[in-house]
Amino acid sequence: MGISKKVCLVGDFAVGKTSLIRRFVYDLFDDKYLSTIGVKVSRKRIMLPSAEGADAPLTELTMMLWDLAGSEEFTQVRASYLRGTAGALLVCDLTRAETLESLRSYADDLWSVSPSARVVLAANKQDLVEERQLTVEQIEAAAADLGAPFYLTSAKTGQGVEAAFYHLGRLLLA
Amino acid sequence: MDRLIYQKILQTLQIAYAIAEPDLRVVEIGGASSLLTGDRFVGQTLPDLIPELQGCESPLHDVLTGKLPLFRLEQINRDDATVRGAVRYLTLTVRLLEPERPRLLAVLTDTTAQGRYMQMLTQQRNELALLQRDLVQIHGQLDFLLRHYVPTQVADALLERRLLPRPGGELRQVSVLFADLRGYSRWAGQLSPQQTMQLVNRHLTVACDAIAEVGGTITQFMADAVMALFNAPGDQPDHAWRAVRAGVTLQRRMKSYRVGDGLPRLDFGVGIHSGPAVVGNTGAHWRYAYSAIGDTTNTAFRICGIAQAGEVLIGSTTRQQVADRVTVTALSPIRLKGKSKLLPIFRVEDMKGSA
Repeated sequence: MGISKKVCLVGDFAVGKTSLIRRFVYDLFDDKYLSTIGVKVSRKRIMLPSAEGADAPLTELTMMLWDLAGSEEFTQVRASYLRGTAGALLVCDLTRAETLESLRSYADDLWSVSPSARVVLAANKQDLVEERQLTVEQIEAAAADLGAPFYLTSAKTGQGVEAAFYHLGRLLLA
Repeated sequence: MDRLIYQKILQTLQIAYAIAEPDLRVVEIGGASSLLTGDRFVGQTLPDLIPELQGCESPLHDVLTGKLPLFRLEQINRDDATVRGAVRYLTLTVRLLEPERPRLLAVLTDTTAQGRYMQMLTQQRNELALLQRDLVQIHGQLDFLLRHYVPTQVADALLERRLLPRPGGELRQVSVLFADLRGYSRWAGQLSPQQTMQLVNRHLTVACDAIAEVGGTITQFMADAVMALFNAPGDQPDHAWRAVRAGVTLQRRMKSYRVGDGLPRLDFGVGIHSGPAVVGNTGAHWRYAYSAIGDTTNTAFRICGIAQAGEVLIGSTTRQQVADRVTVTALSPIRLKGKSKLLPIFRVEDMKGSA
């Protein structure tokens, strides 16, 4: 029998939340930036081992992926959208250092309404090497501060995207 | 009949509703049912009809128990089936239907017109924010370039629009300083080009620091030499004193300077002269540099040319302005090329009252 969990993607605007979901769910990418308002819910079913070990039976996990607007005017209502969240992907943009600093406040908002929510940090736009403003050490430190595993991701190339979502999935089943 | 009218109104306004029992099983639906997904049949659960409610059992339970007055999601994005790539926006409100009986009323309203307008505004606002951020970065890069290729004071004056960025200048009283490395040519022949560059840059850094500390305007580098102006572009009534302080400080620091990387320490000869010069942008109409043109500059350059390693030599006009602040030794006057009169020259021995 499958399990369904609500998973939110949070982070500043234009960090690539919508693109990460699009890559994970449809394996597509579009360079054009289209800002999200409100919320878009997508569904992704994945199979995960229900326990450690190669012979462990697989469990079907349906991730209800909530793509939340990263814009400021959405801040006041974000808490109601975060209610009932089992897990979250905290997304920052490797080419904009300030987007990493914001993650603590997104995590605090999340934990204020869903205290047991599990989180994974995705440092996105890994493909934009020349424009990178954040080091792996900075990401690592922020992730440690949040108690979260972290992944360097690229919605454009797909690098790290599945790994980040699957890791979150495993945390949700643990 | 009333119910039919009611349904038509809801369909016209693009509003759908569903009523569900505490176990979320739907017992009634109505209005614009196209907003609902699934088979739109009574008997399904609320999340079957409204997929955005999947995983939201916890807040729905809070509404049922009165812990939450209502659960509301604004601007739910759905793909518009009628227009490829377009988004349809819905607003969902879930509340208790009636206080005495725990049943949920979920109302979905089509807010596409408002949503698209909001999306457009948000898009523009976000793009502007990104553009502004890019502009700040570009400004920082240009500022860096400007301040590293143009004298700091000139860059400030250009940015503050106190200086016009076009050829020409103004006649001002200035002090001009030249500092030139002694023995550079000999070493340049023995060192690799990279080492020579290191040698020059490290020595010039000492000179530039001493000049900058007293507000001098570093106008140009000529291989192993540096030229600086005082009293331009900004006003410095004590320009002669500043120039002498820069020269003396430079020589003091060089005595104990360690170049590093096995490179030799060389010494500067420094020449300073004060007087009128046309200060401004000199060069072609499409490419120019900030400098000072005139006899004062030429004289300072000549004086520097006869300065021995470690010496600061000044002309008589400079000496007059700093007479009470430095001790000097008069040297034999020199005759400059193209001049009939001899030019008195003084070697600065020390600054009075300084260590």
